[in-house]
Amino acid sequence: MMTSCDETREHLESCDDCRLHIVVEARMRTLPVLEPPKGLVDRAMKALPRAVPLKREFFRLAAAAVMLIGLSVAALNAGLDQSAPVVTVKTRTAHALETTSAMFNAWRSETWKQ
Amino acid sequence: MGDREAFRSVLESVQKLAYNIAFRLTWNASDAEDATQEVFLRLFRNFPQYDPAQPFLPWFRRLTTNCVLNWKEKRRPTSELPEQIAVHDAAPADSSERLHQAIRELPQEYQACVTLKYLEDLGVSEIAQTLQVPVGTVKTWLFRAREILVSKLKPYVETLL
Repeated sequence: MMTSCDETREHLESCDDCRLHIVVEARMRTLPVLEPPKGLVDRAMKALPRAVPLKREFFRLAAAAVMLIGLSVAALNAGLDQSAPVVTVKTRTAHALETTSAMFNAWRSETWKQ
Repeated sequence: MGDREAFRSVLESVQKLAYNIAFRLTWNASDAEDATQEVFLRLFRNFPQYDPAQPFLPWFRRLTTNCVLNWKEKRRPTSELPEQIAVHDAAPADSSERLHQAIRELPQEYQACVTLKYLEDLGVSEIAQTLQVPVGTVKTWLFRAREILVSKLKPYVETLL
């Protein structure tokens, strides 16, 4: 009486498909494990983003704020030092009032003449 | 030891695993290196999400596989054509090369399954966990992958023996 092992062996000897399945399965298990390239970790470490320390970040922000205030003050001073005559709102309004009243008077005298 | 140094020692211990998974999914040394760098960057960013109560290796394997597959997907439009031409034009030198080429021509998800099964020696449930798909899907993919490989290698059965 044939054992199941013998039957299997006999089948494998005659069946190409099954033999190939076993061969492929076996070959897949022997795929070589590769060594990673040298310096892989070093290169990865260099590429990692560096965390900025909180203290340094604070000083950076403080410096930016001081610079901004300084620039604002400088711009304000530069504006006040200009030699060109400054036309104030009051002068402008007075001029506009004069023009308006002259126009009104002219219109009134024209109307009353008729 | 600073955080960066601690992270470096983690990379030292997982680089072989990451590089081999990347190589089996890209089949190119330069691409495998680029993909591995991407994996390390992802690991650096996702490290806070890792729960130390859980085993590290399955978590890292999942991160690596997903990261490499995404990396491949992103650069497919530029790299696919020359790669395909190379695959079809090149005459494989020996039986190992024939096997590699046959695996390389498998669909991406089948390649991932085959890699995790034969390189990492994982069971179907672990592969399912790694790829975040049902166990049945992994079984189907593995079955189909084997069928495709066998059909492609059939003409060369004598050289494989």
